[in-house]
Amino acid sequence: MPTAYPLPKDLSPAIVTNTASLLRIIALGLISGAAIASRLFAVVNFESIIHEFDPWFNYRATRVLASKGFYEFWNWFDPTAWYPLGRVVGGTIYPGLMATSGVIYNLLHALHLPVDIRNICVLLAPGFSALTAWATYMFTKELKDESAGLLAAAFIGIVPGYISRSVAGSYDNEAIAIFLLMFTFFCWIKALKQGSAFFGTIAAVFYFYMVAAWGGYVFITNMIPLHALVLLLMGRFSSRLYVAYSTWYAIGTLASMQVPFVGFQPVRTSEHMAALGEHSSSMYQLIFIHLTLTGVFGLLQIVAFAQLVRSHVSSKQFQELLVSAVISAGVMGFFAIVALTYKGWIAPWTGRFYSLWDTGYAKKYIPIIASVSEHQPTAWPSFFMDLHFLIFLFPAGVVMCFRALRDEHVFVIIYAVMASYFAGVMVRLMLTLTPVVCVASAVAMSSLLDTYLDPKEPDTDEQKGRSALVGTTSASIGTSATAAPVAAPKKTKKTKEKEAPVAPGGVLGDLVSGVASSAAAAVQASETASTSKSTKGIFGLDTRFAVIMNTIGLLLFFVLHCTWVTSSAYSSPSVVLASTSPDGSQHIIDDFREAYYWLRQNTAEDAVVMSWWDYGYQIAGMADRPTLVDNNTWNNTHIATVGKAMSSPEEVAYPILRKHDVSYVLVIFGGLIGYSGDDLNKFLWMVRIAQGVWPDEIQEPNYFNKGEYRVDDRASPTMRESLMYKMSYYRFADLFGAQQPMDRVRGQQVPAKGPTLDYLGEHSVGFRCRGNVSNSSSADEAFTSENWIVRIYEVKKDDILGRDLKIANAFSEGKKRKRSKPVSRRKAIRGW
Amino acid sequence: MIPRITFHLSWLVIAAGVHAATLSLQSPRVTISSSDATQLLSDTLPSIKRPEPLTLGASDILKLTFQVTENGEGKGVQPHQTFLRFYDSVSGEEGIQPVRVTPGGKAKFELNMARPPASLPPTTDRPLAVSLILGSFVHDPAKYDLFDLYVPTSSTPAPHPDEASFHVLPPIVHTFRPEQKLPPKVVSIVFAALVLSPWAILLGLWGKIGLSVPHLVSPRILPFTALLGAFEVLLVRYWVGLKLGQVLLYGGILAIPTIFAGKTALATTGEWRAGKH
Amino acid sequence: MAGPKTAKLSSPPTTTPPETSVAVSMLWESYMQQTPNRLKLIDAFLAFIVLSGVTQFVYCVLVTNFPFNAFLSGFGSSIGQFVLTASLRAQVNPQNRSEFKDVSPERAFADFALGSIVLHFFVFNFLG
Repeated sequence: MPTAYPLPKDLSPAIVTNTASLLRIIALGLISGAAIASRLFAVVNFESIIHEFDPWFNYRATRVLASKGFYEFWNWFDPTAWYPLGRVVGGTIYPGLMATSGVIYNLLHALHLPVDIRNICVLLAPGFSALTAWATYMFTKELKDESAGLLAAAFIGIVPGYISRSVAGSYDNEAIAIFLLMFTFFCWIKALKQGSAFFGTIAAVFYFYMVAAWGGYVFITNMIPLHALVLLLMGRFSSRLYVAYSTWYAIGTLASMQVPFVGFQPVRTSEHMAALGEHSSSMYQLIFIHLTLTGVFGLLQIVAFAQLVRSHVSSKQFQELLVSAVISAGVMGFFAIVALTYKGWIAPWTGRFYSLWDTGYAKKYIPIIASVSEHQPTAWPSFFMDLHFLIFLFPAGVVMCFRALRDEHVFVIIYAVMASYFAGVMVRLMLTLTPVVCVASAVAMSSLLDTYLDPKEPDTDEQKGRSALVGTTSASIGTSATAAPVAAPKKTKKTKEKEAPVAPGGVLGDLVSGVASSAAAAVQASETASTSKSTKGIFGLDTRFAVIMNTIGLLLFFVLHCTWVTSSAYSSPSVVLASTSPDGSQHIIDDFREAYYWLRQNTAEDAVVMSWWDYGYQIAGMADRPTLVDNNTWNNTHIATVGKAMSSPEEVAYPILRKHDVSYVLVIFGGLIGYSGDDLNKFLWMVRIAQGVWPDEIQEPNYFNKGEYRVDDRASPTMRESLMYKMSYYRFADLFGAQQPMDRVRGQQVPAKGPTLDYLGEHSVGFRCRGNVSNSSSADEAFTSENWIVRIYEVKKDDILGRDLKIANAFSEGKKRKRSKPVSRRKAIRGW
Repeated sequence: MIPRITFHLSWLVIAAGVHAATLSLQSPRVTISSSDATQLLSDTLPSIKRPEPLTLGASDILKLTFQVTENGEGKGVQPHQTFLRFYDSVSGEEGIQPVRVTPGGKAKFELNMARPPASLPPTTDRPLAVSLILGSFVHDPAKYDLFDLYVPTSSTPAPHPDEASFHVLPPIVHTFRPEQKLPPKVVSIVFAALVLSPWAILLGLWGKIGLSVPHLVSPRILPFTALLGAFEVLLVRYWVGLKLGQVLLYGGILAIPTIFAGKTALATTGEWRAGKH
Repeated sequence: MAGPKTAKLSSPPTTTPPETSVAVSMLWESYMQQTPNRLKLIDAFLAFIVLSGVTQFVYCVLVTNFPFNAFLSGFGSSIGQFVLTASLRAQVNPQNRSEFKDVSPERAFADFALGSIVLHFFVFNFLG
């Protein structure tokens, strides 16, 4: 057998395998290290801090769990959230994340390692990303081999699509969920391959963990029955499928019911859940999925039983039995459905049933869902941003799966189709797409590398013999002729290779598809060569070298891209902001914490703070004050109330504030330093959500001036009167002295004479230089942070003379009150 | 405001003590004329006896003239405050109308029912009690019930927008789902027996097939089965009273010997099976 | 799993042509002859599980589902145990030897034991 490069001959197979496994372990270790390290940008650039919004709640819940124990946590009723309603926390969360941190915390403390719970929370996601890499390795290993597994592990370790949800400090459910997802899938594949009840049980246990950890468990609930169903329809029923699926289903379903938030959903339609807005359409999906789940389970039982019967009787008798069984089952099923519909237990043909096919349903009709940026459709560039060249290799990998098409490949294909669809619908579901992209790309790339690293030369001797038969003498003709099909795609590739580094975005697609197709051809060639003695293959070192170098180049670019994206885009805690000065030095903007600590230090412990719901968790976590609404968003009316208060004039808003015991109102204002995620930019959502509940009082068009959203002189009167506008620009003009004040977010010049406030107090601590710092005990003390990002107003108490606050203010400013004639209460009866 | 009132009152008391002077009405006179100026009634109000109730038509004009004097003497005084009060004792509606008094103590008040003053309260078919209230820094305050006045009925006043929030709310009554009941004991027992009956069938079938466990007490098998049994006991204990953490801990501890015992036991049975076949 | 379902299947044939009943009786005979004894033991256990599951379900439908948790865990344990046992049966069935290359009968029993313990843990946790 000729080889392209010399191989050492005197190695025993044992040494080779041992070295290979050692190298694998080292590689996995390094991958884990890289996965963890690349997630630490946030800690290095900023500090060990919990990021964003939801993680603050998780962190707060974890602190309760760590300090009070599991059972206390389980029964925790939080009276400070959703004031005055409160929130039953134990029954409305996925406790998996907190339980994980709690276990780690207690374990470390049992080992006398007094690690702060915050650091555990911050570093949980990077830690689990290493486990994810390992689970992906195991999964891909089942699909192809160890080298593909290592590639997949490396990909998932650093791919931005996953890093975006798992940097240090991003203490969210997704941090552990992707590991659970991949490991459950691995166990499922393993169980299916071996027909092992052991792996089925493990899959069920991890499924339970997943259910306890993330709402995305529905994805598993979806995938596995679908896979089983497709296998069944493909005529691939086997006892192994029966064992794997039944075990997983029976234990997994019972286990998933232990989580209170999920509860009886698998067996009962709970209509009240449908009222929860966000969940309404997903609820129906859920029910449908559970129907599928159970349906597939029942189907499998029937098929298994039929198989058993078939093994005992002749085929003719089996057919008779089958016919009579199908008829009787059909009749019974029909009567069962009629009876159930008659009894009103199921209503299969209502309009809402169809809404589950329409993924845009919730977005169209429930503004609170549409208002979350995560729920927007994915833009094309973000696919490249999150996955880089994997997105181009991904289809090639799926094609490879079609070529092998064992049971597990069917799984990957279904996964790829489903995840691609969902990732296109919603940005946040990019996360579920990422693992399968990594797996499929790893399969494709490893096939490519296998082909081009394989030292085996095509069998030219055979060719020679055959050509000798034909009568030609030159072997080189034969060689070049056989090499032609391989060379053809390669030629086009070579021309493009040079362009690749210049413009990796555009050309890469063609390039990679070229690579993939040639790889596919090559694999086919090598397979057929071994069986039918065809002589397609790779000749010489130069072609090998070119392809390998190109691949390595791609990988290098991938690493560069991942590092760059991670460090620049995904590692901002969003609680602390960073800005770069023209000279390159970094300036930290810490307004949020400044303001939250001000609240914590200077306000009464039971002072209710009203803000838009985005900041509810942060206020609860950092300022430890009751909030009206938070990121849980379970009560749309309550949120709409806040929206109404924000978008109404002061006189209308004041009674709302007083009735909800609000002491402080907090707004985010980015107009001074150009922080674009501020409340005025979210303001239209507040208006829309309020309009959904009070269509008579709040109307969106009133906030526009001829269709334009303006905050300057031409802002509509309703806009200028609204509490949000007033709170944002109150005394903003004072900053600019004689100059025209400028809002740097909206790029508009604000009126030089700013709005006045009568019902809220304001005091700008940020302007210490102006010397108007009064002590915090004064009645209308409030706060504006250093860069004006957070502004806090105190809601004034009722006037002690019982006057309207507006009149009282006018009086104290020395304005003469307009004399109004008293209105007679006496109304004469008309028609006399 | 409250402290100011108390101050004034105390000041008044002192003033009353010093002067002991009172204000009185001189020649109070009431005239009612219709809209075309025909006089319907003209009367001097008696100072002691309460007069007959007066009736005012929809367009009639009531005129009231009087002079305020000190101690019933002829010299008129100007009180600091002079009010006419219209009061419906049943509905509690009242209206206060200030009256201008000249420095000579003379006063004239005109009530035109075609254009009633804003202070006139809403009325029903009941009369309004009209009284005169005099206040002065130097005299005792005085109040004179003048007469009862029937005025045309007005429509009932609209309730104040916040009226609803000034009432006692009805007590909140919670509606609970009815407590689910256990079925009668007999039914329970019958069904318990029914649910347990498959055990009999199981044992019967096994007996028929011939259940034989020749190696059950073999020292290699027994630990495994015993440990499996221990697991079940642990789980039952969990149901009875153990905490989750304890169960997981004990289960973890129990798992280690079980794995080893299982390996031995199953390897042994594997050997037997291989030997048998 | 053969026992009870065969019994159930035998009820429709009373109205269908006699061929079917012949087929059923042949099925029964072939089952009795071909099935090894240890599989029959498992089948008997399966029959037991099905019966107890059915009686629990009947109780739930006819009388009350009042301690709903208890019913669910009882019924769930029936289903789970049935499935695990059926899996065990499939794995130790000599006819399926070719399908389960990685699972020896002993391994199958170990899996069965593990699965049962996990299942029972959840059942007891759910029992209330």
